[in-house]
Amino acid sequence: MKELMIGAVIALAGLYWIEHRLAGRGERRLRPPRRGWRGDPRRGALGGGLLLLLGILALGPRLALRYGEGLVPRAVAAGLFLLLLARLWLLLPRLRPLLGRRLPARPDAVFFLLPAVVYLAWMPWATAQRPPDGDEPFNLLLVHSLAYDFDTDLTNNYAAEDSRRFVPRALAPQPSDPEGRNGELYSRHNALLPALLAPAYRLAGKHGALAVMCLLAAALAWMTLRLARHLFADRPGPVLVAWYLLAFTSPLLVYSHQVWVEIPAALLLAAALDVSWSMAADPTRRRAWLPLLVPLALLPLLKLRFLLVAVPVLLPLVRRLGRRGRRFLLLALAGCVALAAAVLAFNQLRYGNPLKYHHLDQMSFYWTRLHRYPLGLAGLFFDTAFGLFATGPVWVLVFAWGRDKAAAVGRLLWIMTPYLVVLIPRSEWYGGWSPPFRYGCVALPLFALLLVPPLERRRGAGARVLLGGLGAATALLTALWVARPGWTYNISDGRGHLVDFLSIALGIDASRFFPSATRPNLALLVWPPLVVLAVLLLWRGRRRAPAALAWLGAALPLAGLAAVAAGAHHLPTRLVEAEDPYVVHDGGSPWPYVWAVGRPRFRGGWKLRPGDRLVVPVVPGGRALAVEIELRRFGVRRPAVRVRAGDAAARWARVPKGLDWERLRLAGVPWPRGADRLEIELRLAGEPDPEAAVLVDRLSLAWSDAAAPPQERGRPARAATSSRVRETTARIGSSLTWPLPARWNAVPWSTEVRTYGRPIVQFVALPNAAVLTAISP
Amino acid sequence: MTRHLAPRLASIATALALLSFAASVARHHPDAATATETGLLALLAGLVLGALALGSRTAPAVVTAGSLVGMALVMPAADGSRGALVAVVLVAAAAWSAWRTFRDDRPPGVLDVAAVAIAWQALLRCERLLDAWPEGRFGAEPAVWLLALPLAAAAAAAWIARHQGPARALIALAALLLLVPGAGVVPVAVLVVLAAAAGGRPRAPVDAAFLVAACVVAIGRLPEVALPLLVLVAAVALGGRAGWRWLPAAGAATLAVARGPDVLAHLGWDGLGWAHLGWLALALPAAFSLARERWPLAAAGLALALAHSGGEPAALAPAVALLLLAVPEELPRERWQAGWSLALLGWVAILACYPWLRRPVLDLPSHVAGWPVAALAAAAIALAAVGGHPGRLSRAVGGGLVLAALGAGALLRPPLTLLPRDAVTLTAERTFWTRRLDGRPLRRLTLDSFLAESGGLAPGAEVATVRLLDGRGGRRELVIRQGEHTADWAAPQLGPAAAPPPWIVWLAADGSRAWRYRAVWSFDAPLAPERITIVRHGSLGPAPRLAVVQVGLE
Repeated sequence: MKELMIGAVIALAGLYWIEHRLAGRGERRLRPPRRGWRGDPRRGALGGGLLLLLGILALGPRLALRYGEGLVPRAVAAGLFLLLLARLWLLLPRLRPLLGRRLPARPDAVFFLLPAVVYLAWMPWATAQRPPDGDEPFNLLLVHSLAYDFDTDLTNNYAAEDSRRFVPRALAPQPSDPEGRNGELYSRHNALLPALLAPAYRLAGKHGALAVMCLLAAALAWMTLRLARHLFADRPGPVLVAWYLLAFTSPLLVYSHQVWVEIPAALLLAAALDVSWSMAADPTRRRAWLPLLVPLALLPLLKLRFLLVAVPVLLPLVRRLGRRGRRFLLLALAGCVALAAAVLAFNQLRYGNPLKYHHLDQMSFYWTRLHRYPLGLAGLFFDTAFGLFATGPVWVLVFAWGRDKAAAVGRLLWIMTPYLVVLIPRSEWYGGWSPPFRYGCVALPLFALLLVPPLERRRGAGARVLLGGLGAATALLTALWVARPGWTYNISDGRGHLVDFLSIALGIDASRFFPSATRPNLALLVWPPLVVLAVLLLWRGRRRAPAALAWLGAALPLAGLAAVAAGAHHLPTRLVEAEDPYVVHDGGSPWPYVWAVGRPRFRGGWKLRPGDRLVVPVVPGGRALAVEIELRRFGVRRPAVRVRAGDAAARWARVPKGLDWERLRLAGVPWPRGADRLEIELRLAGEPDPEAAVLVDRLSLAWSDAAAPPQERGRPARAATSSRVRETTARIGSSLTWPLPARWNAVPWSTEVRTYGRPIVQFVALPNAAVLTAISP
Repeated sequence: MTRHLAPRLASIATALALLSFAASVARHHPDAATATETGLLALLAGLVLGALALGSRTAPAVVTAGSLVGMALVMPAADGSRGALVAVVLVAAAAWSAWRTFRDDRPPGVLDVAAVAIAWQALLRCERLLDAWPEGRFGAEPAVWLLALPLAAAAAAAWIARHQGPARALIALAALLLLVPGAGVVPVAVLVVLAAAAGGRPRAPVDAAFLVAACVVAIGRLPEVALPLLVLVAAVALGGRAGWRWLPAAGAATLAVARGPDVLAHLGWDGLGWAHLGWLALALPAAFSLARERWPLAAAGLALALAHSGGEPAALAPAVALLLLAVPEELPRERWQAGWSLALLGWVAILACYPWLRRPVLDLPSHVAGWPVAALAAAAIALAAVGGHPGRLSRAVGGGLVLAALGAGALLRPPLTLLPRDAVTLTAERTFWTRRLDGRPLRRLTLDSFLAESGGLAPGAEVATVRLLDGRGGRRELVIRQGEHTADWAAPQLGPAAAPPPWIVWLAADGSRAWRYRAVWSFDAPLAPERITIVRHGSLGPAPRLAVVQVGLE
């Protein structure tokens, strides 16, 4: 509560000062706002709501005696932030005159101060709720070493547990942290950013360093405005809205107070692009090399991979500049190469590895599987836990078209393509343990520029509805990230915090409706084309429509939630992941360990020992069920699996012999009317065996309406002698069957198309039919 | 047409979507108690937002509130706090809708007013829903309370708005709904009388008439004076005597004198007497700055507040609301004053609403050390004093004082809580709980607890003892008594009279209300305990269990 009060005071004081500053600038050019309660109800209402929340906040510590385990202060935090967002939105018309008719080369300092006030106000609460995590504490340890020891040797800092100054635990060296030739412990992170933060850290500790990060994020927002003048100088209104969306929503808001290199890198890139585009527009411009080359030189010093975005900045200038300019450019490129060589040489001398802690095969994008590219790219934007659109739905507008959009798209692709080509195929394409869209943050200003052309046509009917819906969803999610900053960090298990809570609240699997690239599902194939199509179709027309349509759109997120709830309880269950939270786990443990490093390497599941049980809530799709359990056995003895549908008699099967991943199939399990759960229990006869265990990954359920098992009915199209094809009944209704001449195919066989080891399409050849089935997520 | 149709469609779609989603959660949530609570919250939210959706200017409130409530229902539930959160959102939506309905110069239609009236009635009288919920008894009585009475009130208010302006109609309706709280038979009858007097009459008698009516409903707990005063109201309304504006002050002062001994007994630093003064301090800005022409009303409100005898805490709400009646027709021009009034009105609305919000919110001043409330009150009074003279310096001073008061709140140190996660249940087998402390001076101890299966215990029976031991062998014992410090969680069903007022109310799995209690001990001389132990008395027998939910040390 104390942190929230401090933040409220900072926000109020900052806003008061900024509005006072605005009063002498912008308001003279605008009609004075109407006074009195009738004339200015929104501001009065905001003020009243603010005072009410602050009153609760000021006196709330006495309510905090486990009153909802912190729900009240978090709700107050979310409420305060929503009021702040609304206040800032109402402020936009007063900021508009500061941009004039054409975007200025140097936007007013207000466009830096406003985001800075917001980030600094939020920082105390956010860091109290979620201590530095991911790479942050290790960066801060390096900051501490530079600030106090003036070196980068962390041996003494680990020993003295200096990390307890900013996190509640003593850090241990990260895996593959480089070691010096004399056994020194160094950080895998470069020292440039920590060196920048060291003075503030020395003065004010952790909060001083984080305050500097807030200022860098605010500078990025300001620089985006400056950058926009190269493409959209005559559109200050849409640029202002794009600036608002960039500055006050995720991901920039989430990263603003965190020590990640991505935001300083984005700032350096934006600064370099600003100069580069200026030079391209006016090749006769002189003395611009230093502001261009310094940021580009600093980028690889922040992180070596940023070299991939630095080089494309220079290449377009080759074509534009004259002979003298090309000479300078070639010198600059040579300088980049020399710098890279110097870094590699330094790493070799210091750490014995030119890539510090990486290896060449980690960057072997050239022989990776092709399907990783669309998967990673789709995940970067659409994944529920790590994608850009899941953290800030309004960013979907990047797909909307508009005037001069092609130029912005082209520049973005030019800068980001080499970078993404190298990073996307990695198993941790999402950035590891970090907030969403980590690897995309370096190009956030360019993504913001993509919003400008469609925002020019934001007053059409479809645009109003879409903006209302996306805006409402973004505001709610942003308030949630503000109230629970820890929820921006997700385990790479194919779900996310919100999806988990939704599944628990509904008592059934809801994750199948949300796309995941870490656990690929059908939704990942469906959402991207649907979203793109919806945006392109709705964002059309220039005719001005009533603003009230936006409220219709604002009702869509809740309607979508209701639709998910209805669908979750009506669509038959086809696939169950054993570790999902809606499954009742009576004993056992998750596998791998929740905090296992490099989680995508593992098939997640639930480890059962004899006597442990899984109770799975199920939406039935028929009167009989064929269950296929993907599992793996541990120990010498083979336990038995008991499967029971509702209160019906149980079916038993012994776990397969092999010690690798196997499939255990039980066909023709009768499903009693009214049953809504499936129990899986592990039993072991005889003496207890501490080694005996079974790891259950997933259950595939195939429903049929026949009361008896399908083969007993004698239907040739479905009856199959091979156990392999017994599960070929349509799983989600998306099955095509071709009747063929009898006995065209003597021996039934099947084949599957798999993604990451999971089948997504199956073809089955039966004696008198062929069946093509899209397998459910 | 799109401009009018789209917001209504949005409101209706939001209400339906929320009902559908909440019904899914209520039906399928694995925890029975959470499912039951979700069902009730869904019903309440559906009723409130569905009513508001009838209005033509309420779409922003309905859509915003619906989205927030939908998100709240997904969050992990815990002991009534989720209900409190939903209630605050619904109260804010209802207040916002009322504001938008009445703020324009043109009078609102009957449907618009009815939307607001039904929504507020649902909030203020949600006990009717609670009582009918467990067995699904939604018969004629709830329909009368939740629909018929507010409709009648809305029709009367719309008539007043047409003839006397929307501001007066808002004040009359607000006074009615907040003071009782809710639209009861007598208050609606009074409003209908006012509406009859409003048509074609000069303003002054109506002014006096509805002020008197406000007093009537505020002291409606004394039915023996209600009938005579109702006759007086009718006479004033029909007779048109302008000099009756002194009547509210005279009536309230009489009441204050009549309850003098109770007032003296409760004016103090403990208990609700201190809560009195805290709330008065917060309400004074409204009285000073807004009631210059209507100081009799302010006096009436103060007297009414002083007359409060420490019974139902929500009775303070009428006093504060009456102070707000001192608002003149033309509200002040300063936005922050309007904001302050709105905030206070919202606070009053929360006090008068959802049952398990009242006690915790009202008890806040009594749980805070004196100086923060005094600092906030001083800041507020300074704001009110300077607010009448708009100027940069006054705004800066006022703003600075507010910031200073708020900044002082940042220094508030929350109490040390000893049970971060789960409650501790003391039974016949597990008879005690103990925790080591760091020896810091202790001046107040707070205990949240409830009993289970304690039906056979007599009021005042000793349940457990809290022992505080310091490092020098000193010991202090506090006895927990049934009916005074704690009681059975099922007290609403077993006999609420034998239990202290609840601290938090939640719903059990079968829909019945469950109570949890808070006991506070203050120490004149600070202790420095190094160990705290709570011991269940063996004389209770094998059945009764004491659940210690939280222990707070300040």
